[in-house]
Amino acid sequence: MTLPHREPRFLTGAWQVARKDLLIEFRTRSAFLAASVFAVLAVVIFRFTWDPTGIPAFELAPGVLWVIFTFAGLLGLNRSFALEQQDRAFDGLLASQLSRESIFAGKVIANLVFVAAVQALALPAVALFFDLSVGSAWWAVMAIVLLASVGLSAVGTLFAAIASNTRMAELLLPMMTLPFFVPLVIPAAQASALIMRGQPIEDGLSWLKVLVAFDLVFVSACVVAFPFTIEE
Amino acid sequence: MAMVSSTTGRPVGSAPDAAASPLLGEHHGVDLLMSAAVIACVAAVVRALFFTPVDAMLGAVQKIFYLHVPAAVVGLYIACGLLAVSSIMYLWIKDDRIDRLAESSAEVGLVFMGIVLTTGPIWGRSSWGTWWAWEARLTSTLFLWLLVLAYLVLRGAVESQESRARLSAVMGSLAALLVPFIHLTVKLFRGMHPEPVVLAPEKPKLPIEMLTTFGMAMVAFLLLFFALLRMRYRWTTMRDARAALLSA
Amino acid sequence: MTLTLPISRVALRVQDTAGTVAFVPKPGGPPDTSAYMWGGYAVAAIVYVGYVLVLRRRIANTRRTS
Repeated sequence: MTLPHREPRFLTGAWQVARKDLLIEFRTRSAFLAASVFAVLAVVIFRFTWDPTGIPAFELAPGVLWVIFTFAGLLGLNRSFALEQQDRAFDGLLASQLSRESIFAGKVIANLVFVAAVQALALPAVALFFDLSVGSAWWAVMAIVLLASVGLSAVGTLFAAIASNTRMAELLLPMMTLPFFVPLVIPAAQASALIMRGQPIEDGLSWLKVLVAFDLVFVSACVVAFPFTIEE
Repeated sequence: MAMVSSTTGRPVGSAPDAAASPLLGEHHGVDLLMSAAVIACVAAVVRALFFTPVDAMLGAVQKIFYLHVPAAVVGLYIACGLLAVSSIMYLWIKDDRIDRLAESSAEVGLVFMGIVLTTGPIWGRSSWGTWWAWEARLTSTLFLWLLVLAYLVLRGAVESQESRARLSAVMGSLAALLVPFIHLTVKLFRGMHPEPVVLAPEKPKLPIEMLTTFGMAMVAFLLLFFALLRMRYRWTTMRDARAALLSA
Repeated sequence: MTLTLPISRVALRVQDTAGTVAFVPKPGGPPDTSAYMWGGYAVAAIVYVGYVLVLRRRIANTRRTS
């Protein structure tokens, strides 16, 4: 007797895909190491080319943070669909019972975890090197970082799917995604700067609204658009 | 043994005679639209340079306004609007002509936005003393220019025609969603800093001579855009037809 | 080639100062920024003519090799 095979529900399917990608990354650690090395290098270079008497830390630190997050995120995104390029493994993924949307969501989650791992490394490093004293408002910074990272991962994963169809994915991915990152990185950097300067979070409310609106619009748009990137 | 086609009497497998091939969409004769556009542009430029009063405050450089603003209107609103709409339409109706329209409006839009991005700093250098000042419209135009450039690079990087149309339509549709966010972000950013005085078409009360010149320039640029768009579109049709012939 | 402009229009504009920044026209007329003007128009002309030439060359190439 064969058990009837039921299509996995959306989140279960997404989590399975995410878990698979993360396990592979965890075992090889290649992209994470590259991203971490880049982060440390960036922090060191910015720190030692910075004149503390000229520019206060909270002016420079948000920019450094977001340069690191963006480029480290791109390093992770690059390999997001590269994993299944070999042996047409992607066809296997498509042939499974998982819906396209849950495959996409799974990859977004995996990229989000990847970016969060790099951020967990970079945030303390930047705080340390730049003598930042954020104090009790650290939760606000984390919230901003999370909001922006959701948008980065969703848009980045979609464009990684597009770029994987081309010969020049490593060049194309930054070119395509950076204009899309602008409405994420500028509000996030400005809002973080506000908080590091000691202002209350309410002052940055309009920036936060942009982040939330972007996330809502683009996460749904990317989920809808993803099936179009797959050739039938 | 060479094989000769019984229908055309020419060797089988040779390239079809270009002039006789209807597939390549040959258009002979004078391009009337382009001629009209060129005449309109020359007329507008002559009027702007020699028959329009000089602005009392800014001097002659203000006349760049007659190039910069029409180019912005055409490049930003018309070209990018066409790109956005045809991208979305392509995902719905998979007609190659819509895809070719998207590609053509992207490239022609890039040219017009390039004019905005070069005449703007020239004006800025004269009036503000600096080549670039992160003014709201110039900054938005810069981001859009980079976005359209990425779109065209994507198109160049995909081999299969069907994939190319589909993937760039996805990017074009998402780009359409992005534009309001870019405007919003730039506006909020500029709201924190004093705004340099800009080349605003909504400047109060231009004298009638300047308004007329501006109107002429606007019409000239519209004609030029559609003439260039059509030329670019025709080339795209020819190119794709040739590619289909060669791969058949 | 210079065009003589009615000086009355250029130098003696009626100033409505309600809510606007006061502006006093310099004696002797507006600043001579015509170099920038010519530069801007030249750039625009070069870009457009250049693009038309690029398109024509592409069309010729496509016709020739087919």
